[in-house]
Amino acid sequence: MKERMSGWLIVFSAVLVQFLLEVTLGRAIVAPAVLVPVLVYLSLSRSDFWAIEGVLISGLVLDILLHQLPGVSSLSMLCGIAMSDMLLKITTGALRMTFVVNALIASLLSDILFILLAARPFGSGFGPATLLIVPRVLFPLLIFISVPLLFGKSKKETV
Amino acid sequence: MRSRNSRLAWNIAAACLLMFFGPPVLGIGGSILGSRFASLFFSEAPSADSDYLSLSVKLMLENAELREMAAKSRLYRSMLQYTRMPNVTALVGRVMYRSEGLIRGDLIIDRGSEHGVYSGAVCITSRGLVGIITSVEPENSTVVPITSPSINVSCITATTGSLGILGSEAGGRLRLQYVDSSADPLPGETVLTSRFGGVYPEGIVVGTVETVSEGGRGIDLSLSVSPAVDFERVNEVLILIPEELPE
Repeated sequence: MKERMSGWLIVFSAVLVQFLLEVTLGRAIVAPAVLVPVLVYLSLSRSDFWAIEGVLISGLVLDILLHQLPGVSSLSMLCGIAMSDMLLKITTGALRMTFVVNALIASLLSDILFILLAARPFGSGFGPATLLIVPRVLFPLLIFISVPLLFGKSKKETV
Repeated sequence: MRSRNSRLAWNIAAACLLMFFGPPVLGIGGSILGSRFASLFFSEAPSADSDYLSLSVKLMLENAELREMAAKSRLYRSMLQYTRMPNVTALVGRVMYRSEGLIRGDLIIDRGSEHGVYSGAVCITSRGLVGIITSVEPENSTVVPITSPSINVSCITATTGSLGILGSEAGGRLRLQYVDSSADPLPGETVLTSRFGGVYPEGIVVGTVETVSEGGRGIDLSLSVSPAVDFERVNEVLILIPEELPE
């Protein structure tokens, strides 16, 4: 129960950060994607509840906050994370950095599905600006990787 | 506990349902909640303070209206003092706009034949003579000011009784011409309408004598007259209507 509460706290904090980033940076697709990596991290480290029910609810909250079509973020993130899991399962298992790869693929697929579902008519949102999702996805992941590298304990100290 | 795949399928189905039914549900629900709970945020029940406030605002507005009416009443009373003939009634007309005229333009007023105005009626203000009505429509009329070159008025100076014909000159100035040189008009004298013209009632202020000079023919005097009315700031006029209209 305590773990679930802390999980919701992390998720809603991520939703809030994502919301603030998207309203301050202007365009929905340009702001760094923070929510998907957080949900992927929680699903890998705790339980798959966060990759399914957590995604549905956090996506819905984000959609309502951003005045988007309700459910469109939930659906794109649900499908993106599920497809990313499937892709990783059919690989040989030799891929290292499972979290980073999983979050990268999930974020990319989520954004592509979001553009597909949210634009009217369907699919009309793709264009040269779609490439902006690459830096949007990479930026938070680089921070995820670089923070432990820069501030993590060295092997000598842990011994 | 259901399997991961079935939970995933159910959640994807829920997201799809949200996409299709979310907007109408949010719209209808928001409208219902808004109409039901709006009173919590926009209270209609007035407090005692707001009662006093609205009452004081109402009284202030009423006070302002009464002050305006009193001011108008004073103005109209002063205007009516010029109607010396007992068989003349007066009608107040508001200047709507000005047409482009030779000197300062004609005045279009909001009174017409429906209100009893006729062509040839004389218009005055509290300061003096304005002009004459030349054309009448059912709901409006055109007043040609005395500064127009087409208007000539028979006038007399108030102190020395010098008679002459008042006409206009360039720049909107007035000039009293053909004054008998034996008269001795003085600068600063008030110029009034005389009883000899037949069009304008006697004794209406027209202006003040500024300078006295010799007329063009050398046997008469010509007086420069400063008009009493500021024709650029006329907002209301009093239309003089005889009880028996002329033929």
